[in-house]
Amino acid sequence: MKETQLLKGVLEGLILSIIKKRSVYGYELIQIMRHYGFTTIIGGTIYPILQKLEKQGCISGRTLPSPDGPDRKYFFITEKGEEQLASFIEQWRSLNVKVNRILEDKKGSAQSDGK
Amino acid sequence: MANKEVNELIKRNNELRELLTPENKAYYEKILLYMRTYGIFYDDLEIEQHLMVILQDLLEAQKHGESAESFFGKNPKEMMDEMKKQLDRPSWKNIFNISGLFFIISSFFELVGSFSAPVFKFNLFTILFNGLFSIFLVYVIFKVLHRGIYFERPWPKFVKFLVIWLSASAIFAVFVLFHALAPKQGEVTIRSPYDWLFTLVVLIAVTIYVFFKRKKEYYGSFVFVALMGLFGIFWRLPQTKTIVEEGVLHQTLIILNIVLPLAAYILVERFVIRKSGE
Repeated sequence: MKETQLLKGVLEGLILSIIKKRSVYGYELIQIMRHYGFTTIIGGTIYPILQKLEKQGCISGRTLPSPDGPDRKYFFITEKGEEQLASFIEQWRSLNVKVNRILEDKKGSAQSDGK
Repeated sequence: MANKEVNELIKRNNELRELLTPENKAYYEKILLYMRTYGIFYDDLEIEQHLMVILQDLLEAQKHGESAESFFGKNPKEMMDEMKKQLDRPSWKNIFNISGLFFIISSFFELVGSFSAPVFKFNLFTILFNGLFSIFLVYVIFKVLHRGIYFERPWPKFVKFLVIWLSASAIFAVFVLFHALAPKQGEVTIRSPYDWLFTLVVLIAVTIYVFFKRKKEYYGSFVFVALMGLFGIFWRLPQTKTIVEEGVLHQTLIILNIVLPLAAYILVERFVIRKSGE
C-alpha cells in the first residue's frame, strides 16, 4: 500500500499538531513534515487538507509580510482545531494500542471465545 | 470591496509569476488556468487566494532549488479536483450577477449592431435568445478550456483547426438563425428623430461610463461602439444624411462603416495589450 493512501486520514491530525506548536505557512509545513521523515509529502497532498481544515474552521489563515520575499499566508490553530486535535490524539492512541496488540501477537494466542 | 481585493490579487499574481523559472512558470500557469476555469459562477476571491498561496510557496521552493513538479507532485490535476470539491458552492447571487452581466453585454452589442442599419429596429426575442445563448456559450467554453488543460489530444493540427473552425461557424450560424427566425411580434422600431437621439444618448452614457471607470479592457470596445454610434448618427441626422444620398461616396461610407469600427477595435486592443506587456 502506498504510504500516502494510508496516511490521508492521519495527516489532518498531524498538521493540526504542527500548527498548534507554532503558526506556519504552506511551504514551511511541508518542510517540517519531510524533516520528520514523511519524505514523500508533496504540496499536492497538503493544500487540499489545509483548505479543508480552514473550511471547517479548525485553522485560520492570515497573510503576513515576510522579511525575504513575497507575503505569506500563515495558518493558526483555532479553538475548534484544538478540540479536533485532542479527539484525534485520543483516537490515534486507542487505535495504536489495538493495532500493536494484533501486530505484536506472534503466537496468535488470542482466540475468539466463540460458543 | 471583494472585487478590488480580487483585482489586487490578480495584479500581484502577474508580478510574482514573472519571478518563476520558465519550467516552473509553465507548470504554474496550467494550475492557474485550471483553477480559474473551474466554472464561471465560483467565487473569484476564494480561487485567487488559493492561487496566491500556491504561488508564494512555489517561489519559496524555487528559492531552495526545488522544482514545481517535485514540490507539488506529478499530478496537480488531482490536487485541484480535490480542492474544487471543497470550494464554496456558487451562490445564487453570484450566478444571477454573472448571468446578468453576460446578458447585458450581449444585448448591448445587439443594439450597437442596429445603430447604423437602414431602419433602427431590434427584436426583443432576438435579444432574449442571444442573451441566453451567450451565457450558455461562455459556460461551455469554460468547460472545454478546463477539460483541455491537462488533456493532450493526439489530434493532428489540421483536425484541431477544423474542429475550432466548425464550432465557430456553428455558433455564428445559431446567431444568424436567431436573427432570421425571431417572431416579428418582438420587433421594436425607433423612428426619426428618436433614432439618432437614442443613439446619441447611448453614446454619451457609454462615454461617461468608460471615462469614469478608466479600465483598459474597455477601450477597444468603446472605440468600436463610439464609431458605430457616430456612423449611425451621421446616417440619420437630417443635416448630414442628405449630403451623401447616392453615388460612390455613399458606397465608400457604407464600407467604412463596416470596416472602420472593427479595424479600430483591433488596433486599440493590440495597443493596450502591448502597453500592458511592457
